[in-house]
Amino acid sequence: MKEIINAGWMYAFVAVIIIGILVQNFIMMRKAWNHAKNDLKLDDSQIRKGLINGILVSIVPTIPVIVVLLTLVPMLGSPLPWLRLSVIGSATGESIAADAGVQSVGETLGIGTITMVGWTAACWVMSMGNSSSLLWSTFAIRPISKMYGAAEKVDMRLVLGIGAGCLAGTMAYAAVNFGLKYIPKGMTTFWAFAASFCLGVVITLVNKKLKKSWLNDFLMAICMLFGMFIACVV
Amino acid sequence: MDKKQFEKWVHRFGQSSSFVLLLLMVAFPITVSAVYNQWPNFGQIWPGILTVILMLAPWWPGETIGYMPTMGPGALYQSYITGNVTALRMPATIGTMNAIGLEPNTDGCHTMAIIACGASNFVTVILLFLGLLLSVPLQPVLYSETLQPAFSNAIPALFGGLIAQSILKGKKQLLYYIPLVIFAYLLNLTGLNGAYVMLITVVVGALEYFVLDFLIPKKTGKTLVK
Repeated sequence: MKEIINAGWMYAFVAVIIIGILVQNFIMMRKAWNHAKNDLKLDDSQIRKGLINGILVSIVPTIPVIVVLLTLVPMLGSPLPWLRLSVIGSATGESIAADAGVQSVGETLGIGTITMVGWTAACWVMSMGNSSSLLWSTFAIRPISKMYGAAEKVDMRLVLGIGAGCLAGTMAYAAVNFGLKYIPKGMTTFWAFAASFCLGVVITLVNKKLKKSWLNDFLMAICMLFGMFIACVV
Repeated sequence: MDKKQFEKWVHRFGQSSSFVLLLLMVAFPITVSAVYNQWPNFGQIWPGILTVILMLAPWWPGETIGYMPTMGPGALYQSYITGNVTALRMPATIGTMNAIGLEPNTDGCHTMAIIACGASNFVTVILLFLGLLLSVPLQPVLYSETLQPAFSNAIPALFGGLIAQSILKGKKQLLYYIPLVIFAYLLNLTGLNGAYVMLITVVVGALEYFVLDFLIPKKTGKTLVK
């Protein structure tokens, strides 16, 4: 069983999919970089800021995903969790999907508790269930983008206003979902959020006075580390 | 290449590459079953597949409609492939917007979102690979009881600073965001599924800006808040 779920060909299969993702990202980024530089006249330092921001913001929040990966590996072998958490999967979603798959054939998710039948069920449920997201993105993004494009023809100010409104709504939801809803149950999470928020306020205000742009660039990373530190202390 | 041509390319490439990756994803369990001649009983597993779809589906309209002005189509195609749209790709985009000073729903914003999300995707994929390779030496750190609260609260800690930076962008943001936060909080108290709380808050946010920033200034000729 252990050899089957860690077979060499499975690693190769997963590696091909993951290389495919990296290639897709690389092509899109290269095209966007050229568009930003040649057509939008953004300078290299501004574009590099976007790149660095994407990297800095993603390092630490990926750690919980690695923890889930390491939790699932002893139960399901390495290739399946590696694939599922690299493509579409989120830390919580994949654990639930694996459990739903194994339970659907009457087995329990655990180390050494599942048979090949349970593993196959988990593999199908995790892969097929989550692939529905790709089906949605393949067919729904274009019409929704066109809808915004149509509004642009009516009035550009309307589109910019709606864009700013959607962003405001997203931020308001995030403030509740990642912070305020944890009062009074889950105060550690709330304090992590609140500490990061307060430091963010201080840095933004200092930055407005001193005009230190590097502070703005690293604000998210600094605040995140501070919030995480507070979570350990409280 | 103008905005229209670039967007056309993004859709063509985004759709075709997403479809190829979808086929590869679906091919994985099929190949596994074919190689080991171990086919699942579909009568038994369909509720599990449906459970996963029902868990994900409520987020799709909210994320796609709500994030489209900020992330644009390119970053959304990228993000749906690696997942974690709200927790990782959205903050990467907004952080970039704030750092460069871009407005949502502009060509510049959508283009930079592709670069930020692409970088974020690379980080996730590479770190997961390293995590797999270094699983044994990393375990004492990853499972350390002292560091556990830090790792499990990384995303709330990430959003705290991001929200502060976004709210303090100007007087308008400060005045428009606070009622929205109160609205989202009250909506959350009703016990509604988080996906619907997000969708409704995004729609109300768009309506707020539509009325206060577009409709009223159009009728009165005056801008309420600059």
